[in-house]
Amino acid sequence: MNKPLEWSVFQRQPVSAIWLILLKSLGKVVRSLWPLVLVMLFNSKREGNSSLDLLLIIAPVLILIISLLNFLYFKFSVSDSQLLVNKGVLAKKNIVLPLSKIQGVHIEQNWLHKVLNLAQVSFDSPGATEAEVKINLGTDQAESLKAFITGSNSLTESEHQVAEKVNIASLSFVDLVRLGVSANHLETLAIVLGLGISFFNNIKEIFEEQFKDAFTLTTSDLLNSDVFFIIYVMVGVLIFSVIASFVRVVFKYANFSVSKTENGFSIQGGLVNTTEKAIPYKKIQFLSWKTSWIRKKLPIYLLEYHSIGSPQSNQKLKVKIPVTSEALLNRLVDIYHRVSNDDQPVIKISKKYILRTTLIRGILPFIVLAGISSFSIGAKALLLAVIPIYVFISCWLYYKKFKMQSDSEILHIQAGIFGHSETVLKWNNIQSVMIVRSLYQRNNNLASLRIFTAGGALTIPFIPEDRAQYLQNYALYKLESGPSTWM
Amino acid sequence: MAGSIEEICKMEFSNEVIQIELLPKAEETPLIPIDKQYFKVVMLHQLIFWLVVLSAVAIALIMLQKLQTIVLVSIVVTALIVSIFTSFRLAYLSFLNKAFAVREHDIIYQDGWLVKSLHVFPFNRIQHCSVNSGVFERRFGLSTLKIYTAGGNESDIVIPGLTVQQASALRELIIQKNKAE
Repeated sequence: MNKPLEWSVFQRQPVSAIWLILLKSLGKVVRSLWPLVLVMLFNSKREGNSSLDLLLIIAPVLILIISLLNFLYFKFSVSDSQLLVNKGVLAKKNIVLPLSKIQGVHIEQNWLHKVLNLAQVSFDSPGATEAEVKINLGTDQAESLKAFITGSNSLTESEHQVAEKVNIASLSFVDLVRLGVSANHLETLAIVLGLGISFFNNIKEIFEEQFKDAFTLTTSDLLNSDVFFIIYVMVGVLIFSVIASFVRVVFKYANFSVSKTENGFSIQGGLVNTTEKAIPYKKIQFLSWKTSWIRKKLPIYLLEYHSIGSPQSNQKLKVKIPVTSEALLNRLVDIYHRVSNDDQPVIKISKKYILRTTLIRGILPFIVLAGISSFSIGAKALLLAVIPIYVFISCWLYYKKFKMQSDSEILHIQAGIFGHSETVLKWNNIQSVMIVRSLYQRNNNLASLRIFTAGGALTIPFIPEDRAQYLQNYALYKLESGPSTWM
Repeated sequence: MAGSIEEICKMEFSNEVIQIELLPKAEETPLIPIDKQYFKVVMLHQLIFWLVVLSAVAIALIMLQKLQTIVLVSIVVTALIVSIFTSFRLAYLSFLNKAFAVREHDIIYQDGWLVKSLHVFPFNRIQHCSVNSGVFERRFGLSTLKIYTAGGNESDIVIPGLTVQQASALRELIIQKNKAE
């Protein structure tokens, strides 16, 4: 197993990766064209449309050829200093990723990877528009590539590192159930409804002619049917979405564990699609945790380490750690910085925030939307008044819960709308600070503070102008007088 | 964090009291407005944008005879006049507010009229910078300085309307300061 040498040679992915590419592109095609395929399957039999039949034969062949070419033209190599990827058939793409710029190496496996004994290796880098690099490798290869890139060149050393891993948190079965039960079921409900409606519309277009009567019947039935039927349907959808979000959580967080190594955290989990992520301590810019009112009672917190590169990369790379006790939460937060500024003065946002934000985000959109829709639905447009009411309530709750404290080391924000969230940021992790004042804020001596870090931005809205200026000046003093050790 | 205690011990230790009131105030720094010539560039950009819009509207009105009613045409013309006036006025006001300053350890940039912002960049957090000039800017001897930090797209700053000398001097300064800090 002389892996370190091997990486420096340009090589393709393992042959079994062809299946992966093939199924992936097939999946893409099917997902975008499935209504068309349905039409063909149902209509071609009656009419014997040969050109459509031909398409059904050509399309898979094309997919096969394209997948093969993609596989053949994808080559990569890793030298001591950089990762090189050459890909693309017509439009060639050469990606150079210096190893020193790689912030994290992630190994992911979905069910397909598992069947084929493959794993997908992806890399985090701070460049915003840097092309994403994803390489499929055999599971052993993936581990050794990760070890190679994270600095331990030989296998013995990486084994040594594994031995040093200390498990700091893992989810028991009961924890998993609690997490699933307390999940945001409304969010899942929205997803279920959205998917259901788009699916229904697609089906409707295809079968409109055959089943015209059936559709008109159901809609008019629905309008005339009694209240009980509608309630049954609503309860059914609700139960379905609760189950769906429960299953979603279980799939995501089964076998979840967080362990501590010398250089950072290692996070593993997933039932069918497993992920393994590494976050070096020094790449952590700030952290936040949140809980809903149900979860607070259990207690469950979702802790998130905001590390370099996370705002640009997609949601997948964001790491949210479910934490099941306050003691554990404190221990995990302490690794970044201890929060002990309860005695510091509190900065709260101005009450004017509520009315101003309700006006701009609630009442103005309501007037515009209701104005437009009143042409088609008449007085029902007034139902849109839920928008400003919702905005008002959430602004009021935000105003009530927002609380900011700071000491010489950290900035500590407590906020939340329906739940509760906290953010801890070390002054030294700040990149730049901006004070924003709208015309209204200037007239009322208010200002919003925007704080930029390499792990994302924070906004502190509607605080007294002199406080914002003081915070800006203090942040600059901290940044400019200290060593630049944000990374 | 592991090892931080040793790090602290290695550093020369001093812990003087900081007088918070005496911290340098970013908001009181005298700012340098950007070059007056840049107003011409802004006006040219506005002019081209509105010429494109006007010709599109004119073509639409001529081609589609259905639209040629007095009511509709007058509404369109009034809306256009109002938005052109507002657009020029806002461009002018926002031009007036663009200003910058260089301090020992950071760069300050002020922008906006309706929503005014004051953004401060410490030199030791700047990743890199670049100087560009567009067609119109070159015509008036101007350049734009772009400063990049690790804080993502929104945190990067673009200072337009600098003279070529100003821009290159600033770029040099940033490189020097970045090395020093």
